[in-house]
Amino acid sequence: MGWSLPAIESMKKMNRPFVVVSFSDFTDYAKENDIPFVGWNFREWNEKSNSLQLRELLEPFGVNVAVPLYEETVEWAGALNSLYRDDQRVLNRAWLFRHKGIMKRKALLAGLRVGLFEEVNTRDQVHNFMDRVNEANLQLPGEQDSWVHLKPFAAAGTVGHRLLRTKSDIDEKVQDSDFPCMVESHLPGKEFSCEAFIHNGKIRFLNITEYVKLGYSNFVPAGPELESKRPIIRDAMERLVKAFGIEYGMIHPEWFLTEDDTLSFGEVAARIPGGHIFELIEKAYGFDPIQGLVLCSDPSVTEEEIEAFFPSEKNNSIIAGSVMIYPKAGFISKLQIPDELKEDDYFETHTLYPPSEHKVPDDREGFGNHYGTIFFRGDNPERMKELLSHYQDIDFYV
Amino acid sequence: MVSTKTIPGQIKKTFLENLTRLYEASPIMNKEHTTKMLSSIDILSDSIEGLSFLFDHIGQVDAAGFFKNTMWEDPARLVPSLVEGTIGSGGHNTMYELMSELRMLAIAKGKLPGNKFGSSRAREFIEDVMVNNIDHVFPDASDEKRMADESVRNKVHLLFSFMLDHIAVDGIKERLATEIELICLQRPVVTDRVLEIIRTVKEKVTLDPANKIDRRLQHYVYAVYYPSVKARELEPGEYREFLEKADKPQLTRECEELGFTLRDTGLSSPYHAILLHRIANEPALLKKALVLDSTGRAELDKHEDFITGLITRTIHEDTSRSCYGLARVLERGLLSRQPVLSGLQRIMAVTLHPDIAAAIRKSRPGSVLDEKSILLAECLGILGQPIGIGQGWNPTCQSARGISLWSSYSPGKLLGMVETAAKTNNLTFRFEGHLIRSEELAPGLAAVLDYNLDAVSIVLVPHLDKIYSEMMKRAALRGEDPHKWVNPGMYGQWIPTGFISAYNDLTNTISGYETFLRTFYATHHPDFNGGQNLAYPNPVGIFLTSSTGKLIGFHAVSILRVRKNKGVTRVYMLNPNNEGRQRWQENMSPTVAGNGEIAGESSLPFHQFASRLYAFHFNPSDVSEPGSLEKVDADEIKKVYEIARNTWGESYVWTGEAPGVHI
Repeated sequence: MGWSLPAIESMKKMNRPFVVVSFSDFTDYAKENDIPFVGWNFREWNEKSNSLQLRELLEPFGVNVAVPLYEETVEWAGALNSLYRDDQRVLNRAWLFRHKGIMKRKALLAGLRVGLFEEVNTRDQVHNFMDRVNEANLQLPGEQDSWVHLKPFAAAGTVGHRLLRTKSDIDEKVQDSDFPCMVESHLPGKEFSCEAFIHNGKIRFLNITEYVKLGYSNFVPAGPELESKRPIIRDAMERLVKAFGIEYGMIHPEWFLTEDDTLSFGEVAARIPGGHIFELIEKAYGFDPIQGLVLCSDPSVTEEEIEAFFPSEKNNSIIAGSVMIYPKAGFISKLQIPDELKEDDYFETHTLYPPSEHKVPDDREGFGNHYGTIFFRGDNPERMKELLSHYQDIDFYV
Repeated sequence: MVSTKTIPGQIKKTFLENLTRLYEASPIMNKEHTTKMLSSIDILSDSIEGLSFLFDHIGQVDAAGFFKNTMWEDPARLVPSLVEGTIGSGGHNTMYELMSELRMLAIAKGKLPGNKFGSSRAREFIEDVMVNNIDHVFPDASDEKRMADESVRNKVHLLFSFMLDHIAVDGIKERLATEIELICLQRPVVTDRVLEIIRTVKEKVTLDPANKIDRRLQHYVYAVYYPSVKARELEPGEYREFLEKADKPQLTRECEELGFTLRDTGLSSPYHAILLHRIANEPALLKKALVLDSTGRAELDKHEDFITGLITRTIHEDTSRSCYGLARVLERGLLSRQPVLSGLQRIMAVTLHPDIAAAIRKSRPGSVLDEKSILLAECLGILGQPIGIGQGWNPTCQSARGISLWSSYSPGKLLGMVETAAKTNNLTFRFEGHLIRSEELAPGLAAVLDYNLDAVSIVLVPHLDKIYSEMMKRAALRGEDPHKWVNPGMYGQWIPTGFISAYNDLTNTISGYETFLRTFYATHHPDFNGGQNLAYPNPVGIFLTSSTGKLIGFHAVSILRVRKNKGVTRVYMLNPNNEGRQRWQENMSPTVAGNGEIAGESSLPFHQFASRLYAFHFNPSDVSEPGSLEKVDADEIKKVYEIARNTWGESYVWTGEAPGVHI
């Protein structure tokens, strides 16, 4: 569910029957390229546009499993799978991923460490929340406010995320249209993500992605320091899977790890992760994660098939990393790739394209549109980290 | 020198991986994979080793669908003359174009089957590209200014060196010879480009006098570098010393030898300038050195002192190209026209405006001559070769056309403009009862002037361009093509008062095309206008089309004359675009020689020219008699209509009558 050329390609290679469900804008393209397709408006949900109608449209294709690719298709896939598996809770579980308030409460109930959080409707409530966090942190007069994160209930990744560092930030950064939403205390520690492929309630493959800079650069698999925590990460992941009742599919949670080995739960999504993580997984481990996602989403796939598909999580010597390039605000006219990059042994490819002269807006939603990505491949995680930190600060557009 | 880099780390491996992915992927994923390949190609094309790696894999690249759904998909549809612009544009276009050339090379060498496109056509394509990109074919002979981005330029240089290593230079020798001959046949005022080609031939190509093609090239190398037996032995400095002591028979011989190369090629060398200086006050020798016709000889006798002064003052090694201009000025009898003589005298006396002096200096940075002498010398070329005038790299066809028209028909007026602009850095034109002063106007079409121009154009074009743009502005929104008013305002009141345009710029449509065509035939074609010749050249507007007939834009040319040649009625025109030979469509290429063209003219069969025309002036009395339009042959009109409709006409909505219906 959702339009993705790489996903279509992966399905074709796998020789599994499929049908793409996405906005009707893609109808013509799908027809021209012989892609089985059903047009659907995921934004419309009413008595004439609901999962029962969608199921009917999909019947001619013999569909019995729905796989969400993007954030806005998660509850639709959940609703369909509820019907296919005749289990209402499948939809409820899908809702966990789509409402960050419910998600956090569920994690809390499962005994995972989460930040202090609250659902808010007004700016005053945000002020009150920050006051209470300050109070709990025993703030003295003149000390800085505690950081608070404001997030929409249902949005992918960093979209709509605002970091409020001070009380005055609340008045300056928060918009009326942000409400209702949730606020959350700042979690300390190093942020990273996991991608867990789950079949029949068990994690069949767990990847750990190390973030060099959130929203810019990451690499797979994580460096030795983070990989050495794999047992406690796996343990936390298993608790999460159990608590959320996830039986089939893939999840992509973000965690925070502090020096005393405490893991805090950030949030979790059940769709293809951003930041080219799937591409990196494919390069590092040599399997196609989209195919993995589809296999794991299908209850009828056998244990043997699953086992044969995923490689070992250990004994991997290839590290794949990427850094996304955003032009700095202002006028840009030219793409300039430094020779130093082209000559680097780790450099693989880039997808940067030359701009037509124009202005880059300085207000961005989330991290905005990046202009392309640079891919690296090598075997030394330290060097990978250095390269990624170095190139995220280089101006490729002048 | 071309810098060639080493190929880092895993670039080849990554390239092959992405190539495999592209090969295995269905077409929907092409873009994703090709984008990643382009980043490897970018690096590989920085070295000969990389190019050779790409060349080795070009068959697989093609088979994998790299060119699919791009404008490079079908080799048979590619146009050699467009390569230069695309390859220099940077980014993905440069990379695609480069890969396309490598594919062409592979087809030419029989390494890759080109389907319908055979290896001989591919070879021809590459030769065309090489000739068009002569600066890049021989790496250090490039015109550095042309391409802004150094890394792109380096890639292009490398590509051409690579191609040169893989395809024998002999293959392009003939093309080079033809190129040089056809440029010279047009007798351009500015000869930099052809001199550059000749220089590269001299430096990079081994010539064997036993070979016929080599002899053609050698002829030009000699004309420019060793125009006489003595010149072959002596450096210019030594040659000057030799001439000072030379006796009459020796001088006569030099005059004869140098005179021959000058008139045969239209090219002059420093030796020519040195010789003219030496014999400036010896009319009998001057006549020989310039190989003057009877008018020229009479002019020389009549204006002996003036010409001696003019040569002494202006003809120098740095201005040697004016030797040919001088010969032509004399043969046109221009000095016997009082406005020309006094115009030149006035320019001799003028004090240049500092900005004008600086602009002239900028165009000739190394010259030891003062700016005014340079300007004066260049006036000789402009006056002597009116249809050898070009617009250089500037979008100023109107201004170049104007200078050419004035040089032909009002040379005195032209010199007056040169003098005024040189003195005041301003030109004033009268337009519909109002004065337009260039110094008060913002820049016109050419925001930045490219200085690869003659000095007269450097002085005049910035002003003419502004004035033309201002006139166009004032005449806009009148519901008719503004050129109806602007052409007479710009070029002179001798432009006939009738004006007809097939293009309606308010509605962006083509309307009344049959009447338009019939009017053109009835006023211009000798079979329908009573066998009349044109009195004055006609500044007309044409649709500029690509080699496949697609609309590119509007262009200004002048119809100089209409004549029958070898049984075909042809239009002879001035194309200010520096080069009369551009293909306008399959089977439609103006020629510059072989069909009765005078040096500088290009020509097309009448109906082909008519099919590109969109606006022209005419004398209304020529079509005032009832039935004069109906006389025009209906089949002829239909033929033109079909050509127009199926080429540039596809870009427009057509309204009004269709041919054969009514008038």
